[in-house]
Amino acid sequence: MDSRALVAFGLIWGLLTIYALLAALDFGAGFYRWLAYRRGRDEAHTIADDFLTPVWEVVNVFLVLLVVGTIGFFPLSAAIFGTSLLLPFSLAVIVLTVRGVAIGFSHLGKHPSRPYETAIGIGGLLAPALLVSFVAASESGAITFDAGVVHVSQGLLWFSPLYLALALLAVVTTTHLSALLLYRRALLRSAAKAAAFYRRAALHSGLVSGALAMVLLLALRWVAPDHLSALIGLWPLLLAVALGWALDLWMLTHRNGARRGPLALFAGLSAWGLAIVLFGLTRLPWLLYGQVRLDEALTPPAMFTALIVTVAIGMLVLVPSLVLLYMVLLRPAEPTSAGTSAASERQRTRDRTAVTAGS
Amino acid sequence: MSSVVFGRMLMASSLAVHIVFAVTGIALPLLVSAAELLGIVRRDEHYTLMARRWTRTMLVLFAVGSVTGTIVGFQITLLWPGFMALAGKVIALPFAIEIFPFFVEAIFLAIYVYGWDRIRNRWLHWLSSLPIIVAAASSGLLITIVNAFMNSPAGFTLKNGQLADVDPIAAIFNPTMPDEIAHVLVTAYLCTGIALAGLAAFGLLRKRGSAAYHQRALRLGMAASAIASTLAIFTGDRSAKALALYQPEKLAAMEALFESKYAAPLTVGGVIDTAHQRVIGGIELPGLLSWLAFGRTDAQVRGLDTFAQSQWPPLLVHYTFDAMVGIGMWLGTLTLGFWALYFLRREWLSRRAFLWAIALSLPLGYVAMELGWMTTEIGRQPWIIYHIMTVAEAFTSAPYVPQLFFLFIALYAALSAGTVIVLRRYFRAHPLPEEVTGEASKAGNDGGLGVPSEPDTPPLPAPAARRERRVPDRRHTHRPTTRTPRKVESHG
Repeated sequence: MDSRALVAFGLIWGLLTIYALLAALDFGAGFYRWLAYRRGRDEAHTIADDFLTPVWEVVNVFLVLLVVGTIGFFPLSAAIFGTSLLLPFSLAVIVLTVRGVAIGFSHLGKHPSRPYETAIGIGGLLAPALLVSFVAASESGAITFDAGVVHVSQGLLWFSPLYLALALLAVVTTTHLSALLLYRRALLRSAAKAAAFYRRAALHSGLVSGALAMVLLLALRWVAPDHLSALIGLWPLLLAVALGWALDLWMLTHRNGARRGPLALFAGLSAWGLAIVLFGLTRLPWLLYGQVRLDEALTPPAMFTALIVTVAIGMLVLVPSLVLLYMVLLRPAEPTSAGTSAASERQRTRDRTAVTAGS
Repeated sequence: MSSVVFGRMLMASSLAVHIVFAVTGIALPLLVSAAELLGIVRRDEHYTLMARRWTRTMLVLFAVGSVTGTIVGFQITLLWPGFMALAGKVIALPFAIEIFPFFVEAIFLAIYVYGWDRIRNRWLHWLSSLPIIVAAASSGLLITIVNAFMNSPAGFTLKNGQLADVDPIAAIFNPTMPDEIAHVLVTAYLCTGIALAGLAAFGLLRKRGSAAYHQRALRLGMAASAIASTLAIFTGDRSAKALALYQPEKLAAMEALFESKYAAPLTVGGVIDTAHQRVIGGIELPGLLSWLAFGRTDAQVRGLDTFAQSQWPPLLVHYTFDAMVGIGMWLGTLTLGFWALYFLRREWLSRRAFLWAIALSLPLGYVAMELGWMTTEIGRQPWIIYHIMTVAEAFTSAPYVPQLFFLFIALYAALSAGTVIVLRRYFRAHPLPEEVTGEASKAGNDGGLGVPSEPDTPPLPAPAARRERRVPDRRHTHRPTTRTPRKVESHG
């Protein structure tokens, strides 16, 4: 296959992997924020809220970057997926809008308030289920692309076994990965009750996610057998995913997890990140399974070069900005004395809320 | 109605909502930065407080602008897959570049807001506003470049319907690009400046909070909009000349010029009688259209008669264009008149009638901007990419567009109302103090940078105190207590 198509696909799928993990943490934190609010667990609510407010907007920009990158490198995907995914993606952006605005507004008035929390929580579950329709539709046979004309089967789009399995898996993995992160953050704050809450949530969702991954493989055997056999061909890496998943759950079975929490998070993120990478590698060379190859959809060479240069220069601007952000905002303040340190800590928390409430 | 009509209405409403937030997001950082700079240079705490309160608004608008921008980003692909399949090959670059200024804006906005109390050196903190100004303006301009490409496509050739010789750089530097981005940028500052001046005028009329604060806000908003409206005359004129060269039928429709003419007159207003191809009741200014289009009163301007009637843009654009220009001229008169009075007859500025004129002009900049975009977008019909691809060709074949249209309309209604309600409620809970002192603009009563429910924020002024109305000191004899400059400390 064309090496430029491979480079482009590698970039896009790498972005997709990063987005999927970040979005899982983001959406899931929103879900737990709602759950903790409903159950009156203030500590757990604060932990989810503190993570959610600074990150959601950056994660959202990643999504836009992903869309822009996909269309820039593979313009034909605009024709294919733009047409076929009008409904699921329109619903997804509505959910993302309501959820984002709810996060933005939630710190301006009485906090927390029921409508905002509900929107953030339910939005966090619906968004991943709707967004994965992109991956499912490209393989489930819901789309046929014939002589430049796109046909969509709404039935297969929404009810193909692949989509149902993938949507369920995405929702459950979202709640699992974010619970792992919030568990670790609860441990960092020595918030015992919240830690127990998140540990249980991570354990249960982790077990279900393993079972659903098996269901996904079965569904794949049904709709895209080549994809499944390619995956099985990489069995040592699949084994690594399974081991990472098992390590993650094993670390969670210990009640006293001060040291095991970070390991569980690391194992969980690596296992699922690797799983997404493998899933992408083995679907090569197809943009639309069995119908359109990636190199057929690639942008003209001049645009390809221009996009690569843009990404490179963009990173030169972005990375120092992120470093500066870390230095100014995220690095812990050096306490001058006990009294002022407590006060400045309170001020910091308040400022952080103020920073992120609107953004 | 056909699906494509609903698709156009859906895209139009998404853009109409988004551009209000986008344009304010482009211009507000400059005004916030100017206010902070004035606060530092003049040691005037009013300006510092102003910068802090405007920053709060900026944050909310940035959040809403980024989610509505996400909607627009998706809808371009979902509703117009044919357009994006071609645009992806030729004009994908501005979309890709735009992401990075957007990241930078989000990052420096966080630094700027959070740094209010963390960065001790006020100059250093002010410096962190500069990347926001540049990033906000450039991300807006990059998207405008794509629109300019739709108006005057460049950077590729079509051979038997196949795209060839793609040159992404030439596509960016398409013929109408410089004039269009200049006009968009300049008018963004005009809209936002007049809106802030209008809010300040309302504050003075209703005698809410410190009058000295409102007077300064009024002057700052008026300064920005006076400069911007002067520049807008030139950018607007250049845009008209670009139209004459690159989109003559759009210009002919905007000016309701049915026949090609030498020394063409400019027809202002009137009602178009399409059947008889004439304008009833318009004011004709002889030779002016030729002069506006080509710089000579005797030049020939192409009329609609040189185009097949099926290619005519809707003549509605004559009204939207004239309304936009009318509002622009009113705002120019108002803002330049303000400064003339400021230097010659300052006492007139405090007349209520004058303040009402400014206050009621608050939304007019945005109205003019919406009318301008309607003119350029409707005026390009039936094309999505001028003389290359029609709107109907680009449109999706997917079902459910009408249903989605109503769903999104409901979303935008809730979003717009929600933004106004939330901001109003917030500023009601954090009213402007009657007297602005150094303390007032510090962390405590910070004009809305703390969290309202926080127990250690100072209690709000008692309702009685709030209702007590001061006579506004319109000559601003009141000098704010200046505070000693902070010790210069570099952070961390």
